[in-house]
Amino acid sequence: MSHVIEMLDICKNFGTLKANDHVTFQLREGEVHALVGENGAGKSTLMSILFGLYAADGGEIRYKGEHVEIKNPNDANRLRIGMVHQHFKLVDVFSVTENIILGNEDTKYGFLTKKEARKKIVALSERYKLTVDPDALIKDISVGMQQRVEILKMLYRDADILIFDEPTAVLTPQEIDELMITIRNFAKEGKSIVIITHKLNEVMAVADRCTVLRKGKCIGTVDVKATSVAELAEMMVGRKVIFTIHKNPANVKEEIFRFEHVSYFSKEKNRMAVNDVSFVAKGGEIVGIAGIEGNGQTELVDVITGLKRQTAGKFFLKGIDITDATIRTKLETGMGHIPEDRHKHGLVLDFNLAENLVLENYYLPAFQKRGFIKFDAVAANADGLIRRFDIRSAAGAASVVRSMSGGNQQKAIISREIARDPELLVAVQPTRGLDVGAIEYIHEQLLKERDSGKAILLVSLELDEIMDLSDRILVMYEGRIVAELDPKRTTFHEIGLYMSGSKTEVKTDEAA
Amino acid sequence: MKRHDVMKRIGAFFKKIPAAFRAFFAGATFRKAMPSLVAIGAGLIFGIFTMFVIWLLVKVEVFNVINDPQLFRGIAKLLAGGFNKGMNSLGYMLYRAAPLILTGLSVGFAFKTGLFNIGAPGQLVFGALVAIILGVKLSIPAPWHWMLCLLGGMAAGSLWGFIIGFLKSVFNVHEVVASIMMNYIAMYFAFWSLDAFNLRHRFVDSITGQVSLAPYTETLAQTAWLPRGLANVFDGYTINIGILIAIAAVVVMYVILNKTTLGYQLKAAGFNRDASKYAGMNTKRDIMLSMAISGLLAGLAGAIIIMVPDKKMFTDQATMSSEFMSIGFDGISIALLGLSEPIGVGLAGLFLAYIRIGGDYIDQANYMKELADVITSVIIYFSALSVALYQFLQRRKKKKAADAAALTGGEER
Repeated sequence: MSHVIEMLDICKNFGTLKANDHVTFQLREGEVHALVGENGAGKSTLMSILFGLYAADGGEIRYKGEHVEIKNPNDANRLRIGMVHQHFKLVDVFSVTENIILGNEDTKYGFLTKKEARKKIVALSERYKLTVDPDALIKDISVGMQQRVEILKMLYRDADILIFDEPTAVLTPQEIDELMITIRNFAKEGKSIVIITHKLNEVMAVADRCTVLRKGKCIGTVDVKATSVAELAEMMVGRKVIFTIHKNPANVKEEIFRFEHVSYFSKEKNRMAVNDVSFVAKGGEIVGIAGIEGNGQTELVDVITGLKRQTAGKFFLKGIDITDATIRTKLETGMGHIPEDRHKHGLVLDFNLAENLVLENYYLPAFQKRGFIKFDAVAANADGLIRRFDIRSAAGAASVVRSMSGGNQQKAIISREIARDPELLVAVQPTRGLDVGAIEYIHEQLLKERDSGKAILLVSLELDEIMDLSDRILVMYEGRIVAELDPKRTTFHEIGLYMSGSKTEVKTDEAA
Repeated sequence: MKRHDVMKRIGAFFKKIPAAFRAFFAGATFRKAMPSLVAIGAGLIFGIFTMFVIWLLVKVEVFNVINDPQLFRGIAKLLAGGFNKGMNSLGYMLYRAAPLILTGLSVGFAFKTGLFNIGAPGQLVFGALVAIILGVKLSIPAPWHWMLCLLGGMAAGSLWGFIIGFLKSVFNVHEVVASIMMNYIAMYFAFWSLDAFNLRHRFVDSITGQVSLAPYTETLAQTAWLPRGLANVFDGYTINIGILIAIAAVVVMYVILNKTTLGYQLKAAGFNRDASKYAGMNTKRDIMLSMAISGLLAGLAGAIIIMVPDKKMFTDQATMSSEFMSIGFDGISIALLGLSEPIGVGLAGLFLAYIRIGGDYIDQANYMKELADVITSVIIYFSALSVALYQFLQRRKKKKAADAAALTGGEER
């Protein structure tokens, strides 16, 4: 079988960081080739080089055996390389057709001729069973549909080499299945496909071959039929990985948090982002909130933590009404939060570690006297947490947080929150962008808090995480909680149906 | 034997000097100050180049002047700055530095807390106005009178700054927009007040006995002048305790920013308002507080400017701008040069005054007085601009690195 693309000995540095260190990647014609590795392994960088977004510092790219220079995405387009980025590059207020032809418009006497384009798009979507409404606006269609638009965009440009960057991150299990079928169909037609992912079961399901990257280095390329998930994981992480999380049976105690008919109207979205949501969280349990991105989870958390003010409803922590309390009062009453965006909401990156670790309690007598900070106490607090939670940094308590790794930044936040000993811990995407070691550690910490009788509200887009950790799962769809499920008795498939709104369990009377 | 020991010690001491120098130049403080020093160097070179161009244009007779400028003498005068006339000019330099340092602190403090207080000119004018009202209208004994004027100036500036902070935190009006408006309001309010409070100087025609109003105010009562004991030390007339107040303000601001919970909280909000809010800090109150403190410093500067013998406030816009407002705007340059650090701002204010005094003396080398202003302005603004540019590039570099890290998965972010 001939190679359609060969990337030989590619090097790319960002400052001192070796994002790609002599990586060789060969794509055969008509195959599905998975590119796997942990966050920061250099997968996206490698594909960005192929797509012309970055120039390699060293190495060679060959197209059908011939040396080529890919200086920008236009060069890539000419070689019929197309890419679906992890974050879609679509114009919200344009229609599907307009988005697809954008940058490649046909004109007649200087005017757009959309009719031909529309015909071609309809034909393509029928041929590949990629159902879209060509006249709908992007902002009105679902995320799964938007991804189809991105795929059609590649096909419209007659791409033969299709790159998918983490395509399943935003999809429901059902949509993932459909996408896998579509990808196999492309391969059958002779198109060559690269799929960037860190989910190994997807690799096993769809790929022919798999290349593993680790810390910028190419670990090897293997035939998927001849390997196993465990072997791939070991290649990816560099050691044996334990997949099962050790979880004691839940010892559910009294109610800690009660959420009663809360709604939040979002001005940006111009609709009820949180719509009449009620639930309770008890001590000793992890309540997982599942859902596709943008179904109100972010707003729900913002209302709970106090960043946004609810439109209606009430909520109570330990029986105390904290509906209209300030953020500080909520924290003092016994709430802790691990925010979704640790750089925006969790840390002051230009402060040092010690200063960040007292961000919520610097004003307490333990850390100040008559308005003057007790620097000794702040440093002692930091040293204690660094030891207890094994936070690693170049200069200990004095390290500027910006210079720390993502995993250690997250550990810093978690240590700060857990050390305050909150009754309710709201954790949003606590492991996003972290490597396997850090993920394991954070999961352990959350379980430890649960076992010590705390209530934990876990919001995550990673269904695996929800399934592994939760004692109860609430599924959110369009601002409502559409199902309450027991992780022991439900399946990915069932959660997926609820996530996509094809099935509803509760409050059907109101939805009608 | 003993003598030998002493010599050895002295020798050892001198051997240590280069190492100490190296340590200083490799130190964190120096590295932080480096862009400012380079910018000042660049500004000076640009200023000297301007002098050269003027000299050249006179030489080729594009400019017609009675006396040809003397290039090298002019450069020497400029660089000699506050040392041109020994202690006398040094005293004058400190006198001029005081309000500059205070407005620099005002803008710098706001910068540190994430706000751009371009409203320092208005706060300064309002501070000066209240000081002049109290200074002219009241008659109380000396220490109480000038102290009251100072407090009045601080309170006025503080109020003016607070309004901007209030508009920002309650109505979400950007502080730059509000600041610019408040500058104009302060200026025209001052013009109106000079009449409303009957502060304008009155001419009485000796023959007809007719009374007419001058376009400027009465001067302050002598009891409202700032004490001028330092004049004996510096062999000059103008220097007063203004510089001591400025130095005290530097120390106080340093302590607030680096040692107190208030400073911690305001700095946190300056770096990352979202995280501060999320951590339970009252960021709305912090914005108002920080604008009020910033305004207080500018108001203090205004009071210090006016509380000297024979100082008048004029009722025309040009004089108001050149004598009061411009010092407020200088605060921005000083804050940039001093990297918003209180001590850095103190030094930057001194430098600015130094080079301005140098500018005053270059007319002795036949450079016109107006051109002297051009040259010093060129140096100051070129320096401030260089620092701003450096910071801009630095931020872009940081952002690029962060983006790159994000693309590789965010592990290094």
